Amino acid sequence: MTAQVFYRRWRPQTLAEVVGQEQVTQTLRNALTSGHISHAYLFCGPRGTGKTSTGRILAKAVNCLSNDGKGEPCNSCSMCQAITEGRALDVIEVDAASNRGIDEIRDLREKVNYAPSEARRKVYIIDEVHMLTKEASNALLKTLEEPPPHVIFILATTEAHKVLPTILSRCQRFDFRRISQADVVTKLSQICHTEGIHIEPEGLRLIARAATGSLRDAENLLEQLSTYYGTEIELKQVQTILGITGDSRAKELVRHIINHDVSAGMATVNSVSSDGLDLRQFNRELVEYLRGLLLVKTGSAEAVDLPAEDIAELKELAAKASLPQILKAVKLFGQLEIGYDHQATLPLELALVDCALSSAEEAPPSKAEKMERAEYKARPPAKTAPPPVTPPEQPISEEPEPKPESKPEPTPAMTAASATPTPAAAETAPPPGKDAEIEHLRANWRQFIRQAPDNMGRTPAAALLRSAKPKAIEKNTIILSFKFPLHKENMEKPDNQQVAEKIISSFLGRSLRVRCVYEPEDNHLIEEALKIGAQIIDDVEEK
Amino acid sequence: MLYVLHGEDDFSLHQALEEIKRSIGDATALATNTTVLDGHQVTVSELGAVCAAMPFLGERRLVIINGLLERFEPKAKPSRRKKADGAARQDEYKLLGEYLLQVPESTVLVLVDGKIKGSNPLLRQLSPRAKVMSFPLLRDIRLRQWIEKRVAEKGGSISPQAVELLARYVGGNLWIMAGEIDKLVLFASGRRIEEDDVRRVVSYAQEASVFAMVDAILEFRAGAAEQLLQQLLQQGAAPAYLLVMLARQVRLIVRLKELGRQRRPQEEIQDKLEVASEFVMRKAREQATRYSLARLKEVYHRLLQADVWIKTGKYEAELALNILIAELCQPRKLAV
Repeated sequence: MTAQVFYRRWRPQTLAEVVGQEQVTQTLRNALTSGHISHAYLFCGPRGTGKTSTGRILAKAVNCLSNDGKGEPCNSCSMCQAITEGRALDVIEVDAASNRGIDEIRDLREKVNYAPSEARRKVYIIDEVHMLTKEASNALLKTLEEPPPHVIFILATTEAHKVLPTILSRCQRFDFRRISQADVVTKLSQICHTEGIHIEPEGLRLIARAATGSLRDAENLLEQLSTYYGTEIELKQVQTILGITGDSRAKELVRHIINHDVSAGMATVNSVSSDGLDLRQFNRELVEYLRGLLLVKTGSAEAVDLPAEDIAELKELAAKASLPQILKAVKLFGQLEIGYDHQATLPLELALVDCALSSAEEAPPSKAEKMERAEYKARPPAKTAPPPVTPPEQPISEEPEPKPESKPEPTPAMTAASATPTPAAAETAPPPGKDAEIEHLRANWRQFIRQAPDNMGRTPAAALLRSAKPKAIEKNTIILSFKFPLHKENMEKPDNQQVAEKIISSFLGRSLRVRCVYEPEDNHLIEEALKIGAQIIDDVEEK
Repeated sequence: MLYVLHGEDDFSLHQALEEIKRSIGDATALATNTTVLDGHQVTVSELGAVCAAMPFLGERRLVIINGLLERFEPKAKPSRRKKADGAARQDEYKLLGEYLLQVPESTVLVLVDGKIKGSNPLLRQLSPRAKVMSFPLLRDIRLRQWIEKRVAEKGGSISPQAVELLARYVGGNLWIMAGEIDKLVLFASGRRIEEDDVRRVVSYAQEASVFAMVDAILEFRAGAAEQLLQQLLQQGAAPAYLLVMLARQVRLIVRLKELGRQRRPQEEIQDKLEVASEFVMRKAREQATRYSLARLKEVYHRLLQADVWIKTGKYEAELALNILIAELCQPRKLAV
């Protein structure tokens, strides 16, 4: 018995011992004393809140030899003990997660009809009942509707909404709540007292908080601590096991974020990192604190599970910040993935800068950026001359995207733009007017060839033009680039060239000469490669 | 003796059936003399074999047929049916009906059915000679009366406000209502059941909080919404469940809006939406008139986004809900 884990050793044995579920235990106690036991119960609620334990207590209470089937079980008679030790024949625990098929339920239905062998009532405890298949649920429903008088069903589940509605309606349903921190602390201190463990109240509070309403989790944590550190447990040790840094720098950082103080924030991150704290844990605390800030800002301070002085601090901070700002910070830090390598602080730093900058500048720049983006989108996918906007030097201030991972790389549009200037265009540096002309030409290239006057759109020259791309305009010459040498040669034949010149001139309204160049690939990567000395050895035509 | 029990109120119907069983005699003797047939498939000859048999070690036989009337329920458009088919069906119900009316005295025959129209041919044929009991779904005042009666039967008392609240939370499903009343009576153990007891004990009170949360979200009341969220989480609701409930509610409102636009009658709308609870319907109706489709659409998209967040592990589930609510309550869309 000594080897039994805490949560089993401390499993409640009477309804009075069940923690934090008064509305359930009181109803059940009254049901027991008045003898109004229902034939089917459904216990639902999160894990570690006492569903199965209550089921077992109920089984004992109805079968206890000394309480006359009324009130709490005595836990000393042979029947109570048999049930506690799990060897009673008439209390059958079924794990519906592993016996979820119709055959198991059919089997159960057959056996239900046999009278109990020694107990007063047969009790079936069906755990995780939401895992039953649809057919199995329906089979069970039949039994639940008209159960033999000597049987009690206790169904337990963590997810009541997955249980068939008809089953729900045939059972008396009890909802188990998450156990409040105060209740968990009380229970834990009881355990500590009996087990001879000395631990600070603050330590218990931390454990209770980490357990998020599940007593079993809390008991497990306590046991872990006591096996690891013995009976004297310090706050520091609790923090280590729970992975809490116990550091106030998370709060400090939140303050810097709200104050847009990037440099102080950077210093904080660096000091945390150089002190060797676990950055993931640090970030987790940071997000938790930001979440508290979010809740306080939206006006639900009561919902925040923090000490009063922290809440006061949060309120003060919340007064300074706007909701979008907080929301942005929560989102940025909430999604960080921090690695273990030496650059682990980078995501934190980026998020910090992003937060501080974007909220410092607020709406106007973001609008401008949006327009800029829209411009990029509106342009045809063909390569463009460098747009008359700021060159992409500062990715951070330029890029409104909040995701830190996309931050360092420039967008595709930028890449295309910076790589575009071809040698020819760069040498002549065309005035903006011509730039616009070529833009216009490019955008409507196919259309204007089709609309060429005097049926010129059907000439071989037009067909050749279609396969060409207007590359640049230099004074009175338009440079056309061809992908294949054959096309270029054909275009250079006098008749074709003449017709082509007519077509283009009619479109632009002034006479132009045509010059042809051969450019095997318009891919900017290949262009770059060619510039640094690559040679094309084969050209495979794409279908 | 021939009984016809029909109606949507399954609970009262079952009680009536139990009453009939008790009136026939001892339960153990009846056990060997009871036959349950499926009305969708039963034939005249089968019926004959079962009904004409002599009771075994008892005075009466009990034959229960489920869903026989439903088989002959008039279809919405009878003219489309082939004549021959219709004739055959008519013969069938006549034959069955004639037989049903001449079962031997020793057999108690009970026809159990769901919702049946008054124009059902078999029902018309049988009704002059059978004992017909109808159990429609209880609504409004009758539901409240039923609650009071049930509480009194269980030996408790209840305040009118609590009755009102209970009726709104649970609705017409008397199976659930009976369970909740049992629970309430036991919880109060002698004292009068008050509104507060209903809120604490009734499982469906949680649903009401979800609606209140949806309301708060749609009305941009971030504080109230976040508070309700924390409360629900504390009560043991799983984040995923809450997300599903939110989505369900928005979907309900959208569908209700659309059906309302088509000017369908209220009852049909309720049937279509498969919502039993009066409270849910009323709430959804209110919300449907109050919020624009654009707003609902926006909420819907955000819900999807939150689901993706949770499922891809971008944010933890509870944090994702916090963010979702905070974002939804922002009057202006964030530039993200």
